[in-house]
Parts: sequence; C-alpha cells; structure tokens
Amino acid sequence: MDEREEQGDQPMLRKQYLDNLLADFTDKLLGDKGGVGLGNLETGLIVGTRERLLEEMVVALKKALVEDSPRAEVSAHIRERLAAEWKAEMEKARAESPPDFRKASIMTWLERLERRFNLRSLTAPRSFALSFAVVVIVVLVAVVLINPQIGSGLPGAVFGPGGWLPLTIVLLVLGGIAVFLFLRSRR
Amino acid sequence: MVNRTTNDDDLIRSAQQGSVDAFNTLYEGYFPVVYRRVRCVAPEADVEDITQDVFIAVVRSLKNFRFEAQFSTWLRTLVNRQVADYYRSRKSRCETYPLDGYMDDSDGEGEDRRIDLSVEDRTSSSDEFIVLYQALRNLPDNYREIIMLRFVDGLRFDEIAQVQGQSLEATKSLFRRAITTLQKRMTSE
Repeated sequence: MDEREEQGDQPMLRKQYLDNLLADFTDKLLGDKGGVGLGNLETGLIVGTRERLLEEMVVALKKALVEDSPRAEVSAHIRERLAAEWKAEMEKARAESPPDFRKASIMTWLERLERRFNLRSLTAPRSFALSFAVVVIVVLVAVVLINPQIGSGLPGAVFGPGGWLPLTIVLLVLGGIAVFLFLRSRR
Repeated sequence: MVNRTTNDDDLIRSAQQGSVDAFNTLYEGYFPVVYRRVRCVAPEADVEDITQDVFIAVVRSLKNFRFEAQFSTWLRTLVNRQVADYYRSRKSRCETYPLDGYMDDSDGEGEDRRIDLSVEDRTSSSDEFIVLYQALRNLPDNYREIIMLRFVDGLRFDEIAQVQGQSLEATKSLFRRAITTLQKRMTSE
C-alpha cells in the first residue's frame, strides 16, 4: 500500500519539482533573484530535453515581451493624438465644474501638508471640521479680548498700550499648535 | 509595472490637477506595458489603435481614479475593457472569432480558436515574434494571462498568486502548463 502510494506520489512530486524549477529559472532570467544570467543556469538546473525546450520558450518570451520595445514612432504618434484629447478634456472639465477644480486644488494642498508633517487626514471631514472649530474659537476669543467695547481692556493691562496685537498672535500660535498636536497624536 | 506606486501616485495627483507633463511621464512609463499587453491579445494591425484607445480612456477617466487600487491594476482593467470593446465591434461586423474570455462565457480551456492574421499583420515584426505572438493569442485566457502578468507586468509569482487569488504552488503549476502549451503550439505551427 505504502509502495503504491509512493509510486502514485512520484509524478505529482516531479510536477511540483518542475513547477518550482521553471519558476526559479524564470525569476533568475528576469533578474528577480540576484540578476543571475542564463549562463549560470546552464549548469544542470534543468537537464532533460523537454525541460530544455521549456527553458528556450521562457528565453523567447523574455526577448519578445520584455526586451523588444515598441517602435518609438508609434509612441510619438499616439502621444500626438493624446495631446489633443488631453486639451479637450481639460477644457471640458473647466467648463463643466470650475468649483471642483478649486476644491481639488485645496485638497491637494492639504494632502501635501499631511504627507509633509505626518498628520492624520486633514481632508477627513471630522478632523477638518474639528480643526476649523478650534481655529474659529481661538479667533473669537482673540476678538473678544482685543475689542475694548466687549472686553475690559485686558490686553492693554497685560501688554500695555497696543497690547492686542501680540496677544492675538500668541493666541493664534497656541491654537495652531493645539490643532497640530491633536492631528499628529490621532494619526 | 514594478515598484512605481509612490511615484505613480504623485504623478497621478499632478495629472489630475491638469499637469500634462505628469501625464506624459505616466504615458512614457506605461506605454510599453500596454502596447505589449494589447499585442498579446489583438491582431498586429490593430495594436496601435487599441493602445491609443486605452490611453484615451485613461485621459477621460483619470479624474475618477481614487487610489483605492494600484494604478497598474486599474490600467490592466482598462486594457481588458478596450480589448473586449474591440472584439465586440469586430463581432458585430462578423469579421473573426474573438479571443476566449473577451466576448463569451467559455473558459476556452483546451480549445484552439484561430485569429485571422492578414498580410499586413506580418509586415512589422520579425517572423519569430509573429509566430510567438500568434501562439500567445491562441492560448486559453488563463494561460495567456499568467504569462503576461509575469513577463509584461513584471509581477513576481507571489504577487501573481495574490492577484489571481491562488496559492503560490497553483500559480507556479499554471505557469508551467502555460509554457508547456505555448511551446507545443509553437512547434506545431
């Protein structure tokens, strides 16, 4: 029974062996495993006639599908035609939805900030709304403090005459830092 | 389509903002891949037109690309769609049989459907490549696809296994069967 099982397993094992061998050969030929060239592979990795034909098939595929580049004039020809299509598409987009262009530009700017400072998503609606709310509150507090009609002249008492300007700056900077730290901590 | 993801994302964002230079860089990077893919599935005479249609579709759809998949995967889908459209339009004109999978529901395993190659098809490449591409076009879908994923797209076997939703062993086995079938057809033609 064991002997029969062994005999039955042999073709399967040989197939798996060939699968791995051919895959390995292809990887090496395409440079995915240390860039070993065909020369190093001709030392007996695959020795049978049938396997040699498979090797040759892989080599032929590499020549046709990897090394044979499309003609430059074909690429240039298509690019010329694409240029007109691109222009038409841009004009159509501008004509249809100018606000979308502005919105997309703001979103890109925010995404750049995210990547630069490793922030959590500024473009996510909740964090954007929260950041906006913090800035609004800070500005309102600043306005209340600096307005002699509403506040009680606190900036003047603390910073002297004209003290509203440094206080506003300090509040805005603190608010900005708070937003920044919040976004960064939540990433 | 190897390890371009980060760079691609920046280029796509710029192109979405209207930068033609960014789009041209994307085009230069992906033109050979798209061209070779189309050449594996369509008659030589129509490869340029279909490749152009693919990139026109890219121009029109790029604004809708949301970075949920890799650009190369998205592009592969566009290529398949354009090739399917091509064969649909050919079928409506009753010209030839389409390739397996681009028009009907059959899996095509083991079937041998021939594409008509006109005289013009045979003018632009060496005989060796023409015979090879013809044999590729006549392969069953799954065989042709794994060859394209490995050679044209440059995916490793583990990446192909992931894309195809198969085990690594099954992927390598499929690859060997594809190469064996192609080799047999090359020698019989």
